[in-house]
Amino acid sequence: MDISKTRYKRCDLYKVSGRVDSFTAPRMAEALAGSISEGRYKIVLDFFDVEYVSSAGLRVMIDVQKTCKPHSGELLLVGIPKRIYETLELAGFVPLFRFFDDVTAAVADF
Amino acid sequence: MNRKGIFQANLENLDKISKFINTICVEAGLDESTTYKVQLSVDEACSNIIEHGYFSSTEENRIIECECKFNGNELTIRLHDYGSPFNPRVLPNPELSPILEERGSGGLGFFFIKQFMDVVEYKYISKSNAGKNMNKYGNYLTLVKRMGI
Repeated sequence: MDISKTRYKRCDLYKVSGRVDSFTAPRMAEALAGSISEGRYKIVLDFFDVEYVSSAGLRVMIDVQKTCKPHSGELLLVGIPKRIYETLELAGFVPLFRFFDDVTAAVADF
Repeated sequence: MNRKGIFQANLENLDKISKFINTICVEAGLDESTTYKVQLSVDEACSNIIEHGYFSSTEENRIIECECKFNGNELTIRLHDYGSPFNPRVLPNPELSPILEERGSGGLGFFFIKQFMDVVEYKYISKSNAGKNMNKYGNYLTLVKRMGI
């Protein structure tokens, strides 16, 4: 898994690629915690190039969403591949997140 | 088709295990969506073995044996480890509340396995019941995916 961060005026964008599993999910959590520790609760997660997300990755997503929402922030999800979206649906995540097809629209939403 | 892979029980190896399963699914002619579901199920099971089964165990032989059989209709994957006994059947289903504040973040791994695989069987053989073949003890988790379902 690779993760890179772009800082925008109103939000932070993280581009993730590769596999998010029990080995790599802690690194994603650590990266996102960087924004939270600075009081930046508006976060965009770009998953276009993610091949695989296990429950460990989903756990990070829900924990970040729970942390951000009470601070008028949100975790927005972009470019979730179809097979990963199916697991999010099964996990009941769809009502808990907003999904975007492109990064520009998600960043502009904040 | 009959294949066996033996992996050291480290989280780092989840990628390797996933590639092994992927090769088997492709060889068995599974479509992309089914392959993903089988990979995810095996990955969740192995994560659990590594993070829980071996975590609380003093066992020195920290490996996961993965045996795969395909008979044209069914893909059977049997995972064998020497960690602490762990019966996934006793796990409660996760809370899937649509209200964020009520959402727990755990329990999804085995929920996915139960949703994605057609058969999930578990047995534990204790050292005292393993008989002469001492390598037989441990947890056995059998996952079956049927074709065309």
